[in-house]
Amino acid sequence: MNNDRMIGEGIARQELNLLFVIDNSGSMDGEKLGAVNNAIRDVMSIMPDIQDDTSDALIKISALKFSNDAEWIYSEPKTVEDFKWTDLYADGGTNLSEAYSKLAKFLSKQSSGGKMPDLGGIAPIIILMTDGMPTSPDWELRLESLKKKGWFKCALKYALAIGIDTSEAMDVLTKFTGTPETVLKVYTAEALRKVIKIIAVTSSKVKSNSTRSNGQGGTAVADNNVVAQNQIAEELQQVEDVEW
Amino acid sequence: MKFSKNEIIKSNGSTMKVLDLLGDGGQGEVYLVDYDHNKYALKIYKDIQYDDFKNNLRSNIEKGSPSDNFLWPKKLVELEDGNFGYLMDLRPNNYSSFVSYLNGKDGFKDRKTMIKWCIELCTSFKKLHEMGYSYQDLNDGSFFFDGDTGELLICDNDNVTANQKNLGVLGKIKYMAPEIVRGDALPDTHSDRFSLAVILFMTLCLGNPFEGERLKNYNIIDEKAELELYGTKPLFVYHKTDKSNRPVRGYHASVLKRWPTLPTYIKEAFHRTFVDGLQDRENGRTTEIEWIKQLCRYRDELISCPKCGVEYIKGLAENKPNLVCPYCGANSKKLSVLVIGKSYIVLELGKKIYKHHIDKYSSDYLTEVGVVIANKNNPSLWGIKVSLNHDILVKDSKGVEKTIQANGVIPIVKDLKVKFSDETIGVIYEQ
Repeated sequence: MNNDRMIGEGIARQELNLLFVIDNSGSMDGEKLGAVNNAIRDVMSIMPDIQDDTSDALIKISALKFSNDAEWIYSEPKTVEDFKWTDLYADGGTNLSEAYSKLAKFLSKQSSGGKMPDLGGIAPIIILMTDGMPTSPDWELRLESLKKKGWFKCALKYALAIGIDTSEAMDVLTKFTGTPETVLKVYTAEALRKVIKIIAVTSSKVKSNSTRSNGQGGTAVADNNVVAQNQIAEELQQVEDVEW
Repeated sequence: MKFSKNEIIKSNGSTMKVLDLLGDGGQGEVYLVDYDHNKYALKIYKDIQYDDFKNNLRSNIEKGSPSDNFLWPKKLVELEDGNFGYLMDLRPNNYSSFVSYLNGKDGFKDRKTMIKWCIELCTSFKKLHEMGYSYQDLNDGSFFFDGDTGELLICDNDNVTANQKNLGVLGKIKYMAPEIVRGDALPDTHSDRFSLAVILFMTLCLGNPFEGERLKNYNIIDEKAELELYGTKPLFVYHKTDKSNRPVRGYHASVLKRWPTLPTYIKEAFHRTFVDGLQDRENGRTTEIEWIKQLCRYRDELISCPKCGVEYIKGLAENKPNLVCPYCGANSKKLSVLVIGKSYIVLELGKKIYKHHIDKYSSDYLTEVGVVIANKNNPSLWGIKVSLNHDILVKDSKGVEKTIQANGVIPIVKDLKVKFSDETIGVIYEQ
């Protein structure tokens, strides 16, 4: 115990994992990846305030980049203080299969070789950002394996289609999120910055809000994903150049 | 952001100037504003809330604050577009958030300061409940502390309503009483009392009273897990007989360190609320006045180790009294005690005597009427410097009487009897 000011180690917090899955294939070159780099920096500049305002969750951040291969930026999830962003550069194909495999491995308990907490973990937030069709043919097969993971099932999943809106591309992303409601088409760098910020910040704050009655009785336990989705949808109304 | 800097807001004929955005919460935005040449915080709700909410706010403003500890709504602000909010005083900079304490970022100067904060908390809720209000949404975001003085501020007072009336808020899951979590009842003074005990447990033990080994039953803490942990199957981590939910070593480190340092009567007060009080919401939960009495007793009995400085209780009434410091093993100091009625005040330097000690009808647990000091010329001689509005009479073991002036010093001498009033006589013993 730190007896000076009775501070101690603090309270045991539930771990909230925020995962960015970023396409850095060749087609993302230029403004698109520049906007992603900028957006993540922007989010990281306000995450310390979000963390300071909550004692409910210990926010951990991870980022997975994928092009010809997929690679975690840090081997371990980082706290908001320790997560430092290094700009990504675009090159290669869109190996979504490998990204899904790496993600599936990550979404297991630490005692089973993954990165999720053994005790006291809450639903993670996964934000997938891409601008095109996967170049790896077996991505659907890998997605099936990923979907079997409990952590994936309960995760709040968003997919951002950057500058594309073909039905094939939308189909790929809807298969990831499980619903078209959380697939967003983003057309400008400014919109991308705002959207990433709204999703990351709003979903990280949800645990800290008080619950209000829905007027229909029932328990006071809220489905945090639903609450977050509703709040995000409300915030997105104010952003131009986004469709969902 | 609804308003920009320097924008002038009009409300019912008065104007205020926006100086800055202070915060953006789920319910609304809070601005720093200039009104009538003073700075205030202005909270504006994001959506137009229903009339009941506004009328309740208006009524609370008219009825007034239970005490200075509440940053109470001062003036209703009604905008031309139908939105509304209220003005309140600004939170001074010397206050830290309770969240920063829980996160291990800020703390209290020492244990007695922390206990003082707890007493202020209970006193504030006692007053709030006495006025017929219930708070309804006690959670970690509502409270602030001055780590040097133990002073308390309570924010977010806009959900306060007359008891047994609810305007929609249910609370925050880990702080709610289980009947609220289950949906069997709406927030009221009884659920406030449960949440108050949760906040006290978090303050004294840095942990949640229901999070222990049972967390291992859940792969993911989802809605089902939360409903069971805090609603349908809550099990106090220090339940006397069912030990299946004890704090987890390595994960709940703070609780495991702090709980053993608490006196038995504080542990009993928690056990009562978190075990008996799960079923018996009206009579099973430790009330504010009971908490205040037990916390005052804790404050009175606290001593500091002469070697390592840590504060602990000798706990002579405990099953296992601490005859040495439980942290460093140094022998306890030999100290005199002042016994007044049921109070047992260990007289170490700096120890304070409060109004309630010398007036058994007083419920003032925070106004100081005396403090233990050392003689300037001979620091081994100690006395109690009083600040009263009347003289008091003391009588030593030989029967010699002496008058101590209203601002004088009572010598700390074995077997001295101190007549604070006709009804209150204290005796100084050697421990």
